[in-house]
Amino acid sequence: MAKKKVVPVKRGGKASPRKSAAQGSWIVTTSGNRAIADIAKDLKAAGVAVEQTLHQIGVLTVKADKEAIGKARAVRGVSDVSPDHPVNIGPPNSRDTW
Amino acid sequence: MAKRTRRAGAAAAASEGVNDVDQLLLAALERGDDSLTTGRYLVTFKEGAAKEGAQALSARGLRTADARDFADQAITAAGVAGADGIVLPEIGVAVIAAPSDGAKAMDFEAEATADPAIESIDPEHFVFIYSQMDFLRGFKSATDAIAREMGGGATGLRMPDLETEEEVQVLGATWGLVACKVPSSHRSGNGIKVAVLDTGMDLGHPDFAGRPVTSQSFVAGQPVQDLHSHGTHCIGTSCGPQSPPGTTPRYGIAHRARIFAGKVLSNSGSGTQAGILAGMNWAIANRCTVISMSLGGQIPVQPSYTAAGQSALNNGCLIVAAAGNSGAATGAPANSPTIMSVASLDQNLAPSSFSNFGKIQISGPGRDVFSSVPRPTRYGVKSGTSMATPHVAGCAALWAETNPGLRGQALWNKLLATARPLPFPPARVGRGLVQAPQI
Repeated sequence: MAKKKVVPVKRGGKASPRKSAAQGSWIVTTSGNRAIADIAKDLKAAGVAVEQTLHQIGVLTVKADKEAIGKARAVRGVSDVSPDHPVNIGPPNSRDTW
Repeated sequence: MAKRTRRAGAAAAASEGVNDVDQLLLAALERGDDSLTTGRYLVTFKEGAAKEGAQALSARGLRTADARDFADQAITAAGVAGADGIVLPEIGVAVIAAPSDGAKAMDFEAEATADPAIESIDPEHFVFIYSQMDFLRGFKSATDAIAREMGGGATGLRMPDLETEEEVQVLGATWGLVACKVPSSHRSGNGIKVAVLDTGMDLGHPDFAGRPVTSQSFVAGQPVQDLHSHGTHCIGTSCGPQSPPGTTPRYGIAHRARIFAGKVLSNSGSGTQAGILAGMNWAIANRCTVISMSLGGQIPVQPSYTAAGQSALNNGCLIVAAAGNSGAATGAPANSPTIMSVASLDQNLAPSSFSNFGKIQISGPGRDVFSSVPRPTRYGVKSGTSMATPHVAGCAALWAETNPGLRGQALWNKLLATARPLPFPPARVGRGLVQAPQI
């Protein structure tokens, strides 16, 4: 049994399947005292996939696993890292809404 | 996909044999007809002739899927991809895509009707769960209001503080507009950009014909066209026309504002914070003076929303957001200190039972609000802080028009300073009911 667990490792590659499966969506808010492009560069170096850089509001939307997001919190110029909360206002054509 | 043109949507719908309902509806809206037909046909076979009927369709070159090929005859869209139609043998009917060429469609219809195995061939119609009762209720509410104003003795609450001159002017306006003193305001929102971040907009709604609309979708794979109704309703209240056609009461406030319709919620009403933030970023980058957000979640203050609100104020924009309808603490994004939180009022100007409380700046009419919804229904009634928020957004646009200095924080302050005080705690109604400028 223990030998079988080793099998996926043979696939090699840059990222293990276990790591990508644990990726979540996060919102990174910056403090405004450092260029957002530089922050994005540091985030990428920490293993974070930057999806959107929203210059106007100083926010980045990213995908990352827990380990990388831990490093992201320590990046200079990052003031907050929070999960991306889904929003739902209810089904179409309903009388009552958000 | 960030944006898909309407023409591309229609072409795709016409070229794919069996389409999903969203695409068919988009194609119908593109055609601009109100016939409620989907563009497909229902072929009814003669009794006991289902097999022969299916063969007749096949003989005319139509590739059809048979419901019996699916487990429990539960047909899936993916399972019929590439087919021209579906045969439903249990009920002796086939649903088929019409040839996209008009002349060929007529030929097909004539030939098929002549086939001995086919009883009839009829256009398929859309089915909507939206109740006409909502429209009728909204209409009744409007006519009741008119009757009350004319002293006709109809039952119900009389609007407070209406003077005779105003009563004449408000004939034919929704209760919310009357309460906010919109009909007597000389302002129209002319030159003011108003962004509504929601489920999009019915871009072909006749009440908005000729209006400049800038739109952008932040929902992957969905064009701006609103197939939900919430977005079109909110845009109707904030920016709808001064004189809707026929007997429809006036329901829109900033009737000459420039509309920015950002689709951040899908046609099923869901979205991600990433998409909403992208919409806020877009609206601020476009320097929309007012940004209306009738959405949210029961979550704590989000630093990202607070940052977006601050960026808005720094750039002369004001974000107003719905407090929420859980009868609980204000949700996000309205709970951010840089975003104006809006509570809902009933027609008697008391806070609505559902309206969230705590961090509240101002109130707007939110119960039984009549406004625009996508074609073919066109009008409908909805309730919620979602409906109160565009009343504040529309009035904010009118105030912004009065003075180019009223932007960002100054506009925020003006709205609160001019709100009508109400005999309820600030945690329920903020500074009171939003009022339109009378200058």
